[in-house]
Amino acid sequence: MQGLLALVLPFVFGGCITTMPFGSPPRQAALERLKPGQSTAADVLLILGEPRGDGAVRWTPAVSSRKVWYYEYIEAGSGRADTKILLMFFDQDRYDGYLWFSSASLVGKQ
Amino acid sequence: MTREYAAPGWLSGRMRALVLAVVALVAAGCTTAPRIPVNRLEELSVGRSTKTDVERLLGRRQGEGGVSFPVDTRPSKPQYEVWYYVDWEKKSVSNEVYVSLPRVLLVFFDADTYQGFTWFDLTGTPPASVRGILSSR
Repeated sequence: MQGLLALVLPFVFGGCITTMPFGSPPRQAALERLKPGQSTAADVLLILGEPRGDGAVRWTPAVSSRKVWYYEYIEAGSGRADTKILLMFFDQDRYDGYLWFSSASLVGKQ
Repeated sequence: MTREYAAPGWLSGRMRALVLAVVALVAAGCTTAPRIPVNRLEELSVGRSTKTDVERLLGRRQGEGGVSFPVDTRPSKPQYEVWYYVDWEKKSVSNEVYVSLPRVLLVFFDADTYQGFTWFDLTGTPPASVRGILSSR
């Protein structure tokens, strides 16, 4: 009986608890070291590392489009994933804002 | 010597109940979370609603964050708090393979005051606005 339980439980738990990390956690705490309008893309690269992707955004006609760098970290399990995502915005070559959000379990993970 | 394992019928009633209880509990942890009630966002008022109002309408957040909008051209660019909501929907790719796709909602606060939101849905269900366009053709 114990042998059967030992055989069954790893499969059951294995489907739900095993997580697979993907990428590295964005260091949102380091944002304090950047100054909007002053820090450059090179400064961001130095402080946050290389982004996983890039893009652009334009939200209002009054403000020109902004370049976007995309950082993400994922811990994927069965049926769900914990994520930490950081978007960095640039006006030309100057840092101009950010947006980050994170699953509660990953907020402090740097 | 070859060891033979007993057939499932070998389980005593008590142990079978234990196995079933464990499997049910673990499986419950794997089920898809309830959908975020984004339709209730209309009940919130920018600049007036509070974090308590948001939690009452949308439930507990799954995470947090921060934002400094590039469209804000004020010299001292304000920073807002973000509440992060996510739910996952399982979509079958085949009989044996499925993917879990998220719907994400971000709610913005200035201190305790609700400032706005953004949400996006990757579950593959055409949004109501798209379905409306398609059905009119």
